[in-house]
Amino acid sequence: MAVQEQNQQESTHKTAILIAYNGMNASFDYDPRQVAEVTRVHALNHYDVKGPDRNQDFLFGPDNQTEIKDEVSIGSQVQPGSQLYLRPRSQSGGAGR
Amino acid sequence: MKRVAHGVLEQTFEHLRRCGEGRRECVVFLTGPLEIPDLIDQAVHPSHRASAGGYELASAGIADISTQLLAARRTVRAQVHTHPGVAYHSPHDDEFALVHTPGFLSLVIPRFALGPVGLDGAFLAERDRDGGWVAVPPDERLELC
Repeated sequence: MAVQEQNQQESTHKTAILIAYNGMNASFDYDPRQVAEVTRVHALNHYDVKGPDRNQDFLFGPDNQTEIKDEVSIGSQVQPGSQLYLRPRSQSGGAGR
Repeated sequence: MKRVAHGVLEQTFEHLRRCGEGRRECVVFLTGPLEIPDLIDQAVHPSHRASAGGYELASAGIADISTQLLAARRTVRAQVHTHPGVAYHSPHDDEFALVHTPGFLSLVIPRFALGPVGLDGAFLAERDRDGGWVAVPPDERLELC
């Protein structure tokens, strides 16, 4: 019984947000008490973002300008149901760089 | 194999030439509808800074693109940029691409795209399953319609 109550309490902490990556969009459950990096890694895995360059993709808020800080709890930075974006901070290329 | 709709490569070269003016690199993103996985039917010319040796999109430029893609249910299937001379994938090109998923294409056009419209002399790299890049013949991945 105690275990069931604990599970119910944990489930009440779960909520969901939308995270877009390169035009695709999906819903992700998150625990507002966890650091945002947990959700970012969840999204990276969902979208099959591979290799060392995946560390260049960060979460941005509904305005697509404000970066969600990895090390801070996600619940203090986003509202349930928000639309977030997973993308690089910058993109560049060239022969002379 | 991705199908490039008629006129998209011409439009891409037009952007690269007009913006680069034969003296700066330039970048274009090739996009397609999410519902049709292999189709490329638009060339998007993003806001960016450029020099003779490179280009860069700031965060705001990427935000614009990603917001537009979501609203239109579209996706970037390839990035295209120019080099001053021969086309190849530089270490910087390897490291700072827009998309990091397997199958994403990066096309490099030589001589600031001032040559004939087409894939002659172009270099194409593809993201592999491990997130690295492999060189592939352009005509094995891009079908010009």
